[in-house]
Amino acid sequence: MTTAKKLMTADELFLMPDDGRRYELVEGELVEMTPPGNVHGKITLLVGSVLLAFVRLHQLGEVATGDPGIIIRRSPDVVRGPDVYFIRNERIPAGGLPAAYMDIVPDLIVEVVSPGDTATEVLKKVGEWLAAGARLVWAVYPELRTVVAYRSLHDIHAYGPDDTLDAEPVLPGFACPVAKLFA
Amino acid sequence: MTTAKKLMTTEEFMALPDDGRRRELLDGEVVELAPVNGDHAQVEALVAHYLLLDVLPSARGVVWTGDPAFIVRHNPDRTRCPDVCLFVAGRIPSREERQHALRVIPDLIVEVISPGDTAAEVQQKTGEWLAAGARLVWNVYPMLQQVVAYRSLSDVRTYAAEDTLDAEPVLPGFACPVAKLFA
Repeated sequence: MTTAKKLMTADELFLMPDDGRRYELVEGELVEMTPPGNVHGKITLLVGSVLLAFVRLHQLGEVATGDPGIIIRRSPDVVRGPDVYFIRNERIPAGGLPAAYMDIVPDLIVEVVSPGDTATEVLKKVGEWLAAGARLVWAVYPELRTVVAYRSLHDIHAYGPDDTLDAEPVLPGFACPVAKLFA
Repeated sequence: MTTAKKLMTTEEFMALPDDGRRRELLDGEVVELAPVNGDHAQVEALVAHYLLLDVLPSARGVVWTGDPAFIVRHNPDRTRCPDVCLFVAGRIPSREERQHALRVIPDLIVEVISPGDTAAEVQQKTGEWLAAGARLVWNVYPMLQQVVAYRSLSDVRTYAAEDTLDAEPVLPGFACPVAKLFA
């Protein structure tokens, strides 16, 4: 007789005691996230603050950072924590952002790429976000001062240090010189 | 007294022994590339095969494999060796030119992505090929069974297993079901 491996659910993950480590849930299994480097931390905040300033000014929705849990799939559960996200007002649940994990995929997902992240991992993760419903995914490369924007798997655009980053179609009017994100 | 590190030139790089190691020259320093696995080798052969099937009958181009060296930057020298590349008729290097590292860049560059290749490396290399003059770069991901095609940094699309890969604008009419590359 074989016993099936017991898979963890998103709810169980949220209720886990804080052991000082960060996890994602991939098909019911815990995956530990190593703490990112300091450049990652700085850039995550910079991108988040530029987005927040625009979103607040125009009262468009919510911006969050700190790997908040987004439930991408159920049974088996997949919970991912993006570096930054933006979600439009119309899509936020009635009571506001939940204290626990959210099963609504945000409109814009930002992933800051670490030096050790493999190309296969990054492309896979981007594809996952798009398939789950994100309308725009940014892969941010601090060392290259480049942001690769994915509107779909057929609509991809790399913005270099001399370019201006827009957030079409999710944040019409948003414009930020890429160099400013890496200053 | 400190001595400045002596940078290697392209000529010195090309004089290194053909000992089966895969190398590139990055800003005057030799970088050894990881050995490829069977997956990589198979996909590389298949891509070359389907490109050759297209260009040989009409002699509309030539296909090279075996990591030939191309000079993408000078002083300090940067020499890259793509997995597969293609020159269209009219741009094919002469027999004399083919004896050395080449300055003229192929129309199509194919890089098969290994599991350990970092996202930053791949993004950097792609940008380099485009800046050096390649008109089309294919990054082939055997683990995801996807091809990411760059016509420029703002014209990028992904082809998945159910798609048909074209080679516009380099080989008008070329069509290969992506699934065939990962058979």
